[in-house]
Amino acid sequence: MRKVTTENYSKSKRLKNQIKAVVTNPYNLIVLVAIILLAYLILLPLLDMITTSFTLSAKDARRIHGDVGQFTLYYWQRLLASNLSKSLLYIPLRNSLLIACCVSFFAILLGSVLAWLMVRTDLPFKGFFSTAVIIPYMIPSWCKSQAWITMFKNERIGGAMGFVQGVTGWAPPDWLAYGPIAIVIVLTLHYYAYAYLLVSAALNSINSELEEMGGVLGAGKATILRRITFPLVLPAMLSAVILTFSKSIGTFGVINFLGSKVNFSTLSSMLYSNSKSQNTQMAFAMAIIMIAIASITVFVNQQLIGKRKSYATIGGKGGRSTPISLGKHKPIITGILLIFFAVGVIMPLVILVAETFMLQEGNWSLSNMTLYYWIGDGSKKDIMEGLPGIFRNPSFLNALKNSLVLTFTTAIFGTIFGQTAGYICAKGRGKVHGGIVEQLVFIPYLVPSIAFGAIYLSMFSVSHGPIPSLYGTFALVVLVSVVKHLPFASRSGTSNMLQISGELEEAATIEGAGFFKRFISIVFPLAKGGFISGFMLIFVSIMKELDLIILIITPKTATLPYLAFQYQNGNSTQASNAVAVVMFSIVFLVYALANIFGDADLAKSMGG
Amino acid sequence: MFTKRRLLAALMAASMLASLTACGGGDDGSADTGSADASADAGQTADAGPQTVADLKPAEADMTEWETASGIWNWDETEDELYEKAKEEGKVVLYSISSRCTKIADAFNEAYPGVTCEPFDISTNELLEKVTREYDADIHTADVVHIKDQDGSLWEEYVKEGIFYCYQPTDIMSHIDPELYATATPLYIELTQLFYNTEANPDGSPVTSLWDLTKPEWKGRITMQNPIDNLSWSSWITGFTSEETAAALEAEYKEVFGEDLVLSDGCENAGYEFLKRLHDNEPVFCSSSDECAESVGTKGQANPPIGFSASSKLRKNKDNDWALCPVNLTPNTGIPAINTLYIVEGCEHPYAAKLLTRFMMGGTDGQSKGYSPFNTLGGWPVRDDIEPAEGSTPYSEINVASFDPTFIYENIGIVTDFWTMLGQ
Repeated sequence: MRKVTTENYSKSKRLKNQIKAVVTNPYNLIVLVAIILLAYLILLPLLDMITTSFTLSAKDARRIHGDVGQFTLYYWQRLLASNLSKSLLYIPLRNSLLIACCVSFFAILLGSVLAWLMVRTDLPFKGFFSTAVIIPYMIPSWCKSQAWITMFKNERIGGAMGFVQGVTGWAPPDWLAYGPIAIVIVLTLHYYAYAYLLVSAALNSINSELEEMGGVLGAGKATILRRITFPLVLPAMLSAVILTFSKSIGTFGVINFLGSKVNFSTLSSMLYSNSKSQNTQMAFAMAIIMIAIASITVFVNQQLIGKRKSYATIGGKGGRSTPISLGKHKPIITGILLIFFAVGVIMPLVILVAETFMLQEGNWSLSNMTLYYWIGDGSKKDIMEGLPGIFRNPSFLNALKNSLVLTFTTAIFGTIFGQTAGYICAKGRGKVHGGIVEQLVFIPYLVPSIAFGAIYLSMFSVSHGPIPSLYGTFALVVLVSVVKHLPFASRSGTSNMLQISGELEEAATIEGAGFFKRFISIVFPLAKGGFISGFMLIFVSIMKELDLIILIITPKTATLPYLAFQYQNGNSTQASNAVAVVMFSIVFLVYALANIFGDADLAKSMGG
Repeated sequence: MFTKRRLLAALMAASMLASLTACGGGDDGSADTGSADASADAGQTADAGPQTVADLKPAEADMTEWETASGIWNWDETEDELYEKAKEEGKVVLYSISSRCTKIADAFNEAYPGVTCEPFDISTNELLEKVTREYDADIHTADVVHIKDQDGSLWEEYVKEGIFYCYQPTDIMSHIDPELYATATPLYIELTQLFYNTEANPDGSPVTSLWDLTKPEWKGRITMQNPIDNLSWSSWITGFTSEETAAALEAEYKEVFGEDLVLSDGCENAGYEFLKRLHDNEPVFCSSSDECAESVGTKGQANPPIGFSASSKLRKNKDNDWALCPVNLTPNTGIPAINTLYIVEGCEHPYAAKLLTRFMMGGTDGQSKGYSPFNTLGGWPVRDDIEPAEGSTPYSEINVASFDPTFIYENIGIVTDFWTMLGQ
């Protein structure tokens, strides 16, 4: 009898304590606020897209004799089951999956090999290589596709002769110059950086004693790699697959540029076409399909690596790493890498910079070289319609200022929210709230930027309850940028927080430290490097952003990408490229500074 | 463990679904994309309704407060009168699809001190999205909009619905062909033209008829943009299926091939047949009009393609040392793309907007600096008292189809679907 009473007592007390713990724990409060905010900022736009795809537009109302704004299945029926479905959905979807699978495979292969060489071996010039390897992430992908066309184009699309044909006289065949193979290669060169970052972060966290132990027991290098190293980095590679896969599903610039010449389209390029043709409803329906595909991959990802705890590398015990000797293969591998970087990384950059010095586009003679697009005084009326070079153009200086303010503000707020979301994802791994947050923050990535901007414009142009009208304010530009970049920010936050072993916080709890005390004196100091890395990650992509904010900015809040677009629109590729070079330089400079002073490493921000 | 996780997933899905249906039912398009509410009855009124801008003018008593205050239907004010009132407003905001709008603004600010013009250069799609969203949210940022009514939707969904106004000053309109200002206030005309490379074809164009493009020797040798990629190209192909052009194409076929045209299955008229055969000849799709022009115009090519491109690319000829030359195709080169000006309903600076409209159209005498930036090769003035740029072919000598916004509006979806189907 006595025993039972004790049990009852302890049971009720336990329950009471549990409830008390839940209610008074600031962590739960933060989770609640985060979920409400995310639902408002992410689910609402998504629902807007879904309802729009079921609403008849004025343009189509006339065609099918319906009323504007009425509920309709027209768009979905047209997309999924009409005589157009094959062209609109099924062929592009097949192509999308094909490209995404191939790119994921090759990018992960390339990225992992590079990561292994860089982290685990005694490769020379590591400083140079580890910087060069990040550059592709900083150059816009269209620069690479342009470089590809410059190299391999043949007579099919006319224009100046391609470089290869010019030098060797051999005309590259269509299948090499344009279409899926070209796209896969260019995208692989663009996205391997993700795999590299993720895998090198994972490799860094492996204690090399494990490998050495294998060696002691008589395993060869290949066996160690296959049986010990590979399984340990497998989760990171899977994570890289998710990121690369959804990135390649979502990209359209390269596909439009290299695919259109042979009539090769994917779901994303179809979406882009429909959006350009003002078929908003169709474009949204396609975006929803893309979001569904991505959600499945994220879900699978959660299932596969959801409960892994082995990421915790900042713990109580130390680890060490001994590089593996490449032996006689060292010079060969170094040579291959040098060629790879020269062709795949440095060359597109050189072409981009060189083009800004050409008075006439595509004329490589020395007499054609000029600084006019940089510092011209506007005296040549034929060029840029009489506008001065960018450094003498007041709108450039204004845009530069705006860009810097926007990128820094967004990066700061984005990092704070991203790390908080990451903290929730990390601590809530395998739990409901962690899953919800992780799914929610991934959605903005796949909502087409232009649609996202449009929805925000509507959502925040009138005041809703406590939220004032934000139209025309800088705050709205920052808000939309922060939310759109949450997928990156929180991913970096998740991996950052996962590295901090729970035992440290537990120890502090036992010592009586509250939530905020723990966060400020334990989590933040340990995660500082990750904070800066997360900051960099947002900084880099917000610098290039245009579609997202074009509907929200006003002439006075124009940014550098807007100026680049304007130059392109005004037929001066060179000036546009000059702006792109400035953007790249800022990003590179900030990255270098962060690396030197802030212990930041992009690699650290991605593992997860 | 697994069942638990599956249960959670199901719960999540269910709750998402529940919130989805809840919002789907309750949300009444307040955050809708299009101008849904404003154009609710577009489908019914279009056929019997107004045919020209002048038909839209309400009786004095029926005017809205803004219409009366802005005097938007008063087309007889002089520039001096407008300037006086514009100075009280202080500024005017221009949304434009042309990068030249910054120059216009500079010229305007110089000509009319005290009124500041703020230009915003933005592409068609974004411009419409922005202006519509702002209008729906009662935000009146834009005063003047410079755009092209490519598919008739501006006339059908904006002008007829009272979102955009066509300000048509009487004295300026007296210099313009009434057909051009029936449904919009025209600024200048551009075309989608076929270009060839003069260096490789010193004896003149290798093609003269649209039907030449369907001959086997041009298979894979024609560059253009994919009509499903953007609105201006889909409007352009729709133009060929009009009754007028289709009849001309049928006659032209006999001229070129010496036999009657036999329509393929699914082709309603000669226009569709032409599009089908053009598509069968595998044109190479470029990702921009610039790229098309570059592919044709670059010198030093042994066997350059021919290609369609915006007529305005002609002005890059000199800058880029290209050898572009337009072809005056028979029976015609398609519909024109007319740049147009609108004033947004409810805008805060209506008098400055009217002044800017006049300024951009060339002012009273056609000599203002507001028009000159647009007067370049490959763009044709609509006014008979403005000389086209030096070296231009007179517009009257070019074979151009007539532009019927209502026809394009009603058929663009059908023709674009037709083109999409050809791709299968």
